[in-house]
Amino acid sequence: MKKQIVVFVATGVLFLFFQSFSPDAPSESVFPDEITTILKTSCYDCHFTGASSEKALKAVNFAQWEEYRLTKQIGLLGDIGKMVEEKKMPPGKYLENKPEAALSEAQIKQLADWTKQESDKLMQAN
Amino acid sequence: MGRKFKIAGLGVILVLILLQFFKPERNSTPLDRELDMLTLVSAPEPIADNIRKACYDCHSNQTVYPWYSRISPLSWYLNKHILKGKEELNFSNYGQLDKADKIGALTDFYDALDAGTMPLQSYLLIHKEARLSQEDSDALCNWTEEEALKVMRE
Repeated sequence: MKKQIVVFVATGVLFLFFQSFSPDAPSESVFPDEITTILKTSCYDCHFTGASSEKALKAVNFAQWEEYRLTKQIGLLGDIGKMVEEKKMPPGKYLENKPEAALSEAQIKQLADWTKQESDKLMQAN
Repeated sequence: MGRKFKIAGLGVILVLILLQFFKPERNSTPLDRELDMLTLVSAPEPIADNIRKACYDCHSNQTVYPWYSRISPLSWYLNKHILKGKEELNFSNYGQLDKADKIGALTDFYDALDAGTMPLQSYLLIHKEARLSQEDSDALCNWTEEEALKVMRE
C-alpha cells in the first residue's frame, strides 16, 4: 500500500515536472491577447488555416505567422495596418453576412497602432 | 451580299481610324534619381539589368514602349496594365517609402517572383528578354531579401 502511494506521488511529481517542457507554451507570442481577440472576430474566418479562400490564405495566414521570415512579417504588418485603416479589410461583402466582424474606429486605431509598434520593434530587435 | 461586306469593312476601318485619335498618356517621365530604386540601391549589374528588363515597363515611370503601343485599342490595353502595375508597386517612387514600406515592397517583390506570378505570362509572350531563368529568379529573390534586411538594419 505504502509502495503504491510512493509510486503514485512520484508519478504526479514527474508529470508536474514535464509541464515545464510543454511545447505549446506560447513563448511570448507577438500577438497580445487584445489583438488576437480582434483578429479572431474580424480576420480569422478567411485568414487562418482551414479557411476556404486560397487567395486570402496566401495573402496572410495568421496560423503560420511564426513561419514567415522576418522581413515578410514586417511587410505584412504594414499591409494589415493599411488595409484596416483604409477600410479595405474586412471586405464589405463579408460584413454583409457577418456585421459583428466590423471593426470599430477604436479597434482600427488599436490594430493600426499595434502594427506600427510591432514593426518598429521587429526592426530594432534584429 | 458583296456590297454589304464592303460597307461593314469600311465601317470597321473608319472606327479603327477614329480610335487612333484617342490615346492614353504615355508613361515616360524623366528618371528621378532621388527616388528610383535601382539608382538608390547598389544592386549588382546583372540583378539591376534583370529588374529593368523584366519589371520596369509596368512598375516604373519609364516604360520602354514597343512600336504597336501607338495603335489603339492596343495602347489602352497596355496602359491599363501599366497603371495597375504602378499602383501595386512603382520602383520610381521607392525613395518616398518609409523603412517599413520599403521592406514591404521588397517582400511583395520577392513573393511575386518566388510564386512565379510575375512577370505576367502575357508580357513574357512578347518580351523574350524578360524571361527569367530559375537561376536568375533565385538570384533576384536572394538579392531582394538581402536588401530588405539591409533596409531593416539601416
